[in-house]
Amino acid sequence: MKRTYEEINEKIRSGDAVVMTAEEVISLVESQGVEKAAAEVDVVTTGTFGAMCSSGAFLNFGHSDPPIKMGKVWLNDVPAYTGIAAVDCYIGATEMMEGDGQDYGGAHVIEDLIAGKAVKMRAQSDGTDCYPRKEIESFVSLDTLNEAYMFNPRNAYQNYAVGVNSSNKTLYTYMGKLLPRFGNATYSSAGQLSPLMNDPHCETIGLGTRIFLGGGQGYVSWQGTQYNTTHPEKNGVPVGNSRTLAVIGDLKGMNTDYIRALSVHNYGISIAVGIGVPIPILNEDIMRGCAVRDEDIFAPVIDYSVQSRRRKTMAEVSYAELRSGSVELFDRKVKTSSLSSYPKAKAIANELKRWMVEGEFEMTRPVAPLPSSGKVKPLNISTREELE
Amino acid sequence: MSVHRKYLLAFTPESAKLPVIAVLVQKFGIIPNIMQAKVNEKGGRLVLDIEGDKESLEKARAYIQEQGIDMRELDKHVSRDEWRCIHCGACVSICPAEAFHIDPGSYEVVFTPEKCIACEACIIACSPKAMKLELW
Ligand code: SF4
Ligand code: SF4
Repeated sequence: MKRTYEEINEKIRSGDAVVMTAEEVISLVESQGVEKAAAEVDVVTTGTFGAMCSSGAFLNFGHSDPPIKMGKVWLNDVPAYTGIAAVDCYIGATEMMEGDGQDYGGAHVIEDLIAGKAVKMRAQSDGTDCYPRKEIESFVSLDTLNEAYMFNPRNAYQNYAVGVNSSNKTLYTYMGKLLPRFGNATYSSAGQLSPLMNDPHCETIGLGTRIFLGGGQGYVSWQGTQYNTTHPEKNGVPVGNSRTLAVIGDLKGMNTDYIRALSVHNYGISIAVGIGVPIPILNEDIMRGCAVRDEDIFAPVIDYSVQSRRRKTMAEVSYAELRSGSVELFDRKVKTSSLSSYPKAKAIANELKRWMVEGEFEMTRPVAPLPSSGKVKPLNISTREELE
Repeated sequence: MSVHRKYLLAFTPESAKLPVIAVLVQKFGIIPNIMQAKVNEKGGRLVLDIEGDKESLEKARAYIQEQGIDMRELDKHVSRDEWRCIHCGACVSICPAEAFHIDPGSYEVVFTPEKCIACEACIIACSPKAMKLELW
C-alpha cells in the first residue's frame, strides 16, 4: 500500500479524506489489522497539551513618533528581550514579573494577548540621532501589534521521565509536588496520543510540516533543542526524553483554550501549549507506528531528590500503568498524577481531524527531514585553552 | 434552627479512646456524618459533617473541647474554576482527602467538593491556578 501527499490533499479538498485520531485508530488496527487499517485511513491526528517551558513569542510594536530604539522593554512589568531591531522583542514564557508578582510572567502576557486583553508596554533607550526618544509607555494588544508569532525552541517532547522523591521532605519541582518517601509519581506525556510517539523516527514529521499550534495553524520550523536519539527503544518507541520540535505559528488565530499560563509552585512560570501533528498514512509501516498503545510505551522513573544530572533510572513503567492512577514501585502502590492533559490532547486531535474533514487544513510534505540522529552534550566548565 | 457545618477533630493518643461519636448521638442528638477518619500512634483526626440545631451543636462543641480534643470548624472551602482547569491531574495524587479522581472513560479530573477538608494542598499544586480558596 502506498499513498502520496497529493492524493491525501485531493481527498481533503473533495471532502472524502478518512481521518482518525491516534486513539481511535488503535481499535481499528486491533480489529482489522495494519494492512486494512492503512488502506482505509488517510491521516491520523495526534495531540498533546502540557507544560513547555521553552516557548515564547516575537512581537513587533511599530514605530512611535518620535521613534525609539528600545533598549529595554517590559510587558505588564515582565522584561522582554529586545537585543534585536528597534521595536522587535521576544517575550519568553518563563520570564517573571519584576517586583512581587511571582505568579505572573511571560506566559501570562502571551495568554492575555491571545485573550485580546490590553497589555501595558514600557520601554527605555539611550536615544540616538535617528531614534531620539528615550522612554515610552503605552497599552498594546494583539490588534495593535504588527507581527506576533510564537516561536518555541523546544516543544512536544517525545516521551519524558516520571518524577519520584525518595527523600524525607516534600519537593516542589517542575514535575510538580513530589511527596516524600515515594508518596507519589508524576509524569508528563499524552502517551499514545502524543505526536512523536506516533511517528517515532520522524518519517513524516519534518521542517515545514503544518501543525495545530495553540488553536491555530503553525509549522515545524526546526528540530527542537536537546534533540536526542540515543535512548534505547521498547516496541519501537524510545524510553526517555528523546526527540523534540521547534515550532512557529501566528499568535493571531490562537485560542486560550489551547494556550494556558502556568505558575508552578516554588519553581516558576511555564506555559501549557497545545500541539497537534497530522500523520499521513503513506504506507503500512507508518500506520503500525500510529497504532501504538499506552501499554506499549514506557517511561523511566527518576528520583528528583538526587540533585545531580547523573540521576539513574530506578524503574520503567508503562503509560497504561501511569494512567490507571497508581504504579507498582519497589513493592508498593504509588499514586500517580499527570502534568499534561490527556482530555485536552484528545480535544486537539479531534479538532485537527475536524479541520481536515471540513477541508480547512491540508497536509504539507516536509521541505527537509529532521536529523536522523542527535545527542545531548552536558555543560562542563571549561577554560578557553581547553576549547581552542 | 438547624445548621450544617464541617468540623475537623484532632485527637491525642489518650483522647482517641473516647467514644465521641456515640456521645454526640446519644447525649446531644446530633447525627454526624464521618467524612474522614485516621488513627495512629500519634492520635487521630476526624472530619465530621454535622447537621443539627444550633444550640445542641454549641453544647456538643463545649463537651468535646472539655475532653481535650481540638475541634476546629472548616470554615474555608476550595472551589474550581472549571474553565481554567485543564484536567491534567496534578491534584489527584496530593489530595489527602481523595477529593479528586479521574473519570475512567474521559480521563477528565472529577472534583468532589464534599470530600474536601480545605487543607489547601491543591491550591499550591494546581499550576494553571484553577483551584481557589474561599471563605464560607
Ligand atoms: S491540578 Fe488544577 S488544572 Fe490540573 S486537574 Fe487539578 S484542578 Fe484541574
Ligand atoms: S484543599 Fe484541595 S487538596 Fe486539600 S482536601 Fe480539599 S481538595 Fe483535597
